[in-house]
Amino acid sequence: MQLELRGITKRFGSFTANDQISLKVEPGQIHSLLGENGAGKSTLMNVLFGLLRPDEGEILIDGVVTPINDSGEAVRRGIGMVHQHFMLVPVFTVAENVVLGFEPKKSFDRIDYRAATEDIRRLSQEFHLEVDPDAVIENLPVGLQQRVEILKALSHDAELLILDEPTAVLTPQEIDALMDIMRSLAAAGKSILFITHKLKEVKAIADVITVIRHGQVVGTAEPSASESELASLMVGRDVQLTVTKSTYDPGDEVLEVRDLVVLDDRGLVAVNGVSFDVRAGEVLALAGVQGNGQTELVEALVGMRPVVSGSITLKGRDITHLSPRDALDAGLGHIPEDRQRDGLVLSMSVADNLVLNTPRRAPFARRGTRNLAAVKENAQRLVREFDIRTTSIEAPASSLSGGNQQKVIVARELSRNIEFLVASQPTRGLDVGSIEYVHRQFIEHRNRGNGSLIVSSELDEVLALGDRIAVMFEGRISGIVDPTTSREDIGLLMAGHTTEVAGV
Amino acid sequence: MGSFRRFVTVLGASALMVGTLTISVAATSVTASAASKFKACVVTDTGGINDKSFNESAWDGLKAAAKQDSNISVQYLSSTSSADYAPNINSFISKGCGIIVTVGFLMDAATAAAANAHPSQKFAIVDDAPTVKAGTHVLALQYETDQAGFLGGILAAGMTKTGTVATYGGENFSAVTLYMNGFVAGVRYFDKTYSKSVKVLGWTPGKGTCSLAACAGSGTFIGNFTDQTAGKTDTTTFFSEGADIVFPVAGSVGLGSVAAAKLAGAGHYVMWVDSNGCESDAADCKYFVGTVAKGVEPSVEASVLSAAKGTFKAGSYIGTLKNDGTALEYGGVMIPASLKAKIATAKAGIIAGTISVNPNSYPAVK
Amino acid sequence: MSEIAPAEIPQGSNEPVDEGPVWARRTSALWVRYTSSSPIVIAALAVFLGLVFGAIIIATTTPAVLDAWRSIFHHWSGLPVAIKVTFDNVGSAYRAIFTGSVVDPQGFWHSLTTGKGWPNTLTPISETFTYATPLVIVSIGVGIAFQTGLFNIGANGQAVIGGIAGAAVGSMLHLPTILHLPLTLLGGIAGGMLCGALPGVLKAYTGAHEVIVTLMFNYVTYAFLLYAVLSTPFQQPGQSNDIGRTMDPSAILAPLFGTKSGLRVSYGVFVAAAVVVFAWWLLDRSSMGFDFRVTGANPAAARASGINGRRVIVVVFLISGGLAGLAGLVQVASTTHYIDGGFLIGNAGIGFTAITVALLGRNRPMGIVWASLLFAALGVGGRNMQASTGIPLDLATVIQSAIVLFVATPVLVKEIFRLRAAPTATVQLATKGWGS
Repeated sequence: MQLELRGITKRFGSFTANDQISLKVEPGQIHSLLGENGAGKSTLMNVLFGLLRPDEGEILIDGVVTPINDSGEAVRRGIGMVHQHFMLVPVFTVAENVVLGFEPKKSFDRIDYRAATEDIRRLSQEFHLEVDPDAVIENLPVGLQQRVEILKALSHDAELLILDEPTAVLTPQEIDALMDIMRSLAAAGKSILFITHKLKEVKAIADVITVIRHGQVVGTAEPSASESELASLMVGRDVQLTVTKSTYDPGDEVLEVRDLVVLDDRGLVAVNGVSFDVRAGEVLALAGVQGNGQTELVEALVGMRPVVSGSITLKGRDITHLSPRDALDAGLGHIPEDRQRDGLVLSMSVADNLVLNTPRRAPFARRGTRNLAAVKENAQRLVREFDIRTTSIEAPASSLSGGNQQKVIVARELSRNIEFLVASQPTRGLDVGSIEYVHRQFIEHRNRGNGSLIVSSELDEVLALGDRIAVMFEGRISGIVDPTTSREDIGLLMAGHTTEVAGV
Repeated sequence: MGSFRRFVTVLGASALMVGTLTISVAATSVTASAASKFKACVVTDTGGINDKSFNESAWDGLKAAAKQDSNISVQYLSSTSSADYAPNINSFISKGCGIIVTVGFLMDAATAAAANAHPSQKFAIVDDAPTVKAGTHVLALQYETDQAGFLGGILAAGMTKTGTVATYGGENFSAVTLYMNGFVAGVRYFDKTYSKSVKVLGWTPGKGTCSLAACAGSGTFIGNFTDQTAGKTDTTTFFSEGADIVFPVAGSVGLGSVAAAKLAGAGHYVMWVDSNGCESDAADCKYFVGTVAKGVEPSVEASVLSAAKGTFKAGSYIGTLKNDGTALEYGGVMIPASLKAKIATAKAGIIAGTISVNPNSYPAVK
Repeated sequence: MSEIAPAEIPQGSNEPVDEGPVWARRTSALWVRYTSSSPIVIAALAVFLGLVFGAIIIATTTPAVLDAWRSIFHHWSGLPVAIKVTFDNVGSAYRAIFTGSVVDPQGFWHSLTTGKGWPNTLTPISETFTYATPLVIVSIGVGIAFQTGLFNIGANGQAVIGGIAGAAVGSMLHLPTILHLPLTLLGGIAGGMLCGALPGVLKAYTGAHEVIVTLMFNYVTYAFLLYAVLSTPFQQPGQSNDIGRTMDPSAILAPLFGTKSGLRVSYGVFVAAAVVVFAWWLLDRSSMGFDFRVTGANPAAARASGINGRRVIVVVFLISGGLAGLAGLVQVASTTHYIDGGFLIGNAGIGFTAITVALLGRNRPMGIVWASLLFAALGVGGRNMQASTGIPLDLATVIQSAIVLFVATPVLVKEIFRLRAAPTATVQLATKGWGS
């Protein structure tokens, strides 16, 4: 299917979310729509999928002007959408989810599951999706759930697939698998609109790249364009993709972890005898595929999860069994993995979030009564220093973009004179500009002579930030290497192959 | 939709609201015509006018009076808590009620306070005798229900085939236990006089004598006057312990006993309380051996009528067997004439004062 | 973060006004402010809708109104009469509610011109305050728990125990007022705290769901109430009925205008005022209250920020229960001065009313004050309505329930009045569901 958008404009009140956007997707083409958060990508896709009506402009399908008034019509015209947040019923099977709303019927209004199952099996084979139609959704990993969404679109004979930030929730392996699927779909003649803000992925898979910024098309690019070219086009200024670090000059050991054993929520051993040191002026980056014990390790460090055995020592002080409050007071800074769940109270103001874990500390409170003037002064200072974009310090944290929400947490932790920073997936879901900013803050923190442990499943981030890189696999450290180690070797460590890697 | 239309909508809605308020303030009272009549008013306690107990009886008394005398109009106010008594009474005083009937000992303090503050206001209070200043107009309506309960005890003892009868109450306080105490006394009197050995379950009288204000002892209590399931359970237990006639003193909880009697099959009966069971629950008349009645309705009716006629007399009314303020009424079960004669003898003896209704006057059967 | 289209609208931007004449445009700009779905507007409109709903009930259940409408089947000329009868009945009912709970304009004018009859004129408003006083206190207790994400369904039982404890101190000790009254108030608080601590501790240390525990605990307290008023030390001497001892004059909250005035409004209003100030400080100014709100809004973040969740649960239940107990005591000490077996049971269960009052008042101290006054006025005025028009008091309960229903479903109110989305935060339900 050939799809063309001509001069699409969508306004919300005085705000123009899409301004005269035109682009063309050819059959069998993977067309990337690249832009920062808030650039208007999702608005455009909602227009295309019939969820929003454009104020101006038209949509052409195979050269014919086709108004799309609702999502049902979009589906009938052969447009399929895979949302960033899946629209699946967790307790239903794959087959049930795929046929939901379009159930094939037998006599007496019975649903023909056999037909549905057969259909799915056929599609699954055709595009190498490898999905079991009888599996229950909630038992499937995220990557497979996403394939169910793709299956759902394909089962409605979609000729054009819109993938909205499909890699945001995936592991590196799952991303690779998704890329393969996208390629086989394109080879079968399907058109794909791939929405993302990740440069590496765009370069890896796109045939054509359209970059939008502030609701306007700012240019098209070939996949051969360099990452920094794409980034500066997307952000509108030159972006430093690699962080400059001062020379590595580690001091004394700040954090010592010895033979740490921690259980997960189900009572199984998640961290199995982990030992490592972090020294002053050093970033230890912890790599590994999600779910190998990193989360539990971090929670144990900051007192949120009980330690079964082993010890944690911060600057010579045993902090193994401290409560979260005591761990924070002992000088640990914590940037949690799930910032909206653990890091912020979304309904409360930016100012309150900036003192979330120090409400009783001077000058923010005296004898149990809060000093709101000090809280306000602190918020104004940090908003300025850390460039947090908010309409007001009294605005709820929920009104901030993801990047700015993370800045609130970073500002809060780095401003409270910590001895050691523990950061978990600190840039997940952030746009390029925000990533750059957060990385620079971490490096400045390191350059001031502080220690940090930064946990990330993004290999790029690990390589960019780490002075040394520890890799975790199945609850153990499978190796600690220096950042000049090849990606392949680190990849092997992430898969648990300790012996084959030199220098371990 | 544009803002202008929205504006008009809201304007319209507010106009409607303002209009309604204006009209409502200007409106004349719909009850103005009732003002010329004699108003009889009742303040119920938290049970309300449908409690199948004395609140309902008092309200029925008012309605009966209004039926007798077309110049009487009736009104009620229910209380949701004891804090409501005083304002409810005051509300009726300001509405010009000719007589205010209050119900129950819990309204003692509120009634006394209102009577002292408004000496000319006529009050009748059911089941209580408040202490008031001279010159006030309060009629205390009280009922020596142990007298009729005594007769009920004789009836039950004479009718039982198993030699065991039982009673239980809603709560352990005197308005309830007075019945039970009389019932036990009647059974013991029957045993002593006619050399039988009928046992009573559910109430052990205390040491002293019972009065309207205090009647101590221990026994089986539901804990409220509404839980029919508990009434059914307790009655079934009594039946399994050998009783065949049960006397519930717990308002509508007694319906649970009726259900239990039906379930237990032939030969199991209930003694009803307060107002004739064969009238209030006619369908189950065949399960009632009788009713230990309390004359709340007729005495309230009489006091309202006298107040309307101007013959109201303050003071105390004690319902007894003699003045039919309490009575034993027979139910839907055949009673042998010999037993009826024994009951009549006892009734005459109580009225004459020769027979004591204190259970401690008779030996208990072990 | 995904981009969701409406979130991209800059705050405060509204559609341009492009219709109607200039005066209407100006006025409508004002209306835009007041028709936006701010929580206060929603609450006010919910009250209005509740009254409209009550009017419909009155019109469709009053025999006189129904008769008037039936007559138009015989002849159309009956229509104006039917309309008039409808408005007369609804009007007199609401007028009775107003004059019975606030002030009767005629009586007020009479008192103003002659200087006589002030106690009578002030009785309605005095009664409204009398009933609102304990309601404010217990609702604030419930509201504080709600803000922490805890459902204290047991406020009624805590109020019962507080009432018993306070009344016991007030009737069984004999001390001068300066000691006796504070001790009595403390007794009420301590009783409620004790009763609130149990579910709190159970929740904090065993994870027992507080809704179940507090709800069930109510029954325990009712049984204890009956036991207390029927047992020797507390039962009124010389009584075998379910009535407790009368409190000493030194322990009661005396009427503000003296016993002679007949106005029941008592010094309890100062207790309530103190509670309002305390709650404002606690929630808005104290670091402990900050912990409470963080816990309520996001328990995971509270844990990560080092807030001791268990301590918060126990402390909140102590405060919530203590306030409920104080409310129970204030209720006794300012009205009957003794407790009976029906204390706070059934419709009088202020601990249950408190849940809806807290919801209507959005858990804010001042919001709760207004909501309590409204509910008290409806109850007090409803009594006057029943006495003067014969419409049952239950109508007041119907109106209260309808108001709460409308408050709990802001979407419905917004649809009815076609409100635009609030310019700032969206309307949030006061509570967050039955999460633990």
